[in-house]
Amino acid sequence: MKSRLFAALLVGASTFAGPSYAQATRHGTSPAAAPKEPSPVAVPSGKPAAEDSTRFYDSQALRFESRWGSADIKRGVDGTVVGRVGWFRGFDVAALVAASPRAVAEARRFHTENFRGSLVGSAGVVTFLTGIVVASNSSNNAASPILIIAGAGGIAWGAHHLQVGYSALSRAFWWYNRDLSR
Amino acid sequence: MEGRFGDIQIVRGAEGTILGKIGIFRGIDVAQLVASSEPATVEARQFARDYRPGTLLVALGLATLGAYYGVSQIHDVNRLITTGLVIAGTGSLVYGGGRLQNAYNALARSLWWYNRDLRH
Repeated sequence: MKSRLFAALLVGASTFAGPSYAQATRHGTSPAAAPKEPSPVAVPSGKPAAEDSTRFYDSQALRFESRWGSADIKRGVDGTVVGRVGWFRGFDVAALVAASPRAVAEARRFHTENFRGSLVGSAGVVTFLTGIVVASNSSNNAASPILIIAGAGGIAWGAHHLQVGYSALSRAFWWYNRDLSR
Repeated sequence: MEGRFGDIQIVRGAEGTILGKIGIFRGIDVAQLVASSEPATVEARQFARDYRPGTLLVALGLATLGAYYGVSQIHDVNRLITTGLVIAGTGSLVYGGGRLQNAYNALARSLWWYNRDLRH
């Protein structure tokens, strides 16, 4: 019975440890499905630079959307998926945003924090699991509370690093989108 | 949009001025914040629709799993009750998590549209 509780908790943890808190099944409207944005025709004449900038943004600007523990990197109004990041996924975000030096710096930070968070979070899950199993099999074992507490701490610490990482990813895309067409 | 211990901060500009936080029991009106962009407002409303139910369902799921743990400590408890609590708790947690994820994705799209329409 305890193992069922643990499985349920794991599902819950995976829900929150993912990128959701920095940003699935898509019930929401995609940018493409949202009410049509002012088309280039609607842009006041005499502003070709702004029009070009908007067109460039429409086709090149990046964002990410979470998807149960990983995140799809999407480009443009159509939301074309150009990559996926997540636990131990090695997509090179820095190369994707190479056109913007500040974005590259944030992308590298994302890479570091994502790896660290994945590693520590995974170790925490394994430790927590071990503690639960030990507690289920021998209730008097003194190691079980230590393992459970250490595991929960590892999960929390890993989740924190993942959160910091996805915040860096958000900034990376912000800088990249800002530098588009400059 | 930056995460900070369960809260989301919406920050503006290169300096990262904090415009507001979105947490479990509080939050700024994102639709009002992005009102200058119509598509962004649509997405912000989608965020508002999914965020509160998602948060409540996740909280309910956690409470149900807590209740399961308490009930499972009682001897000779009906297995149907404990199984039901686990299924209800997990289901609520997963469904609520999905709604929350949809909410945050809508928020990301909303800010994307808002930033895009700033260029007009």
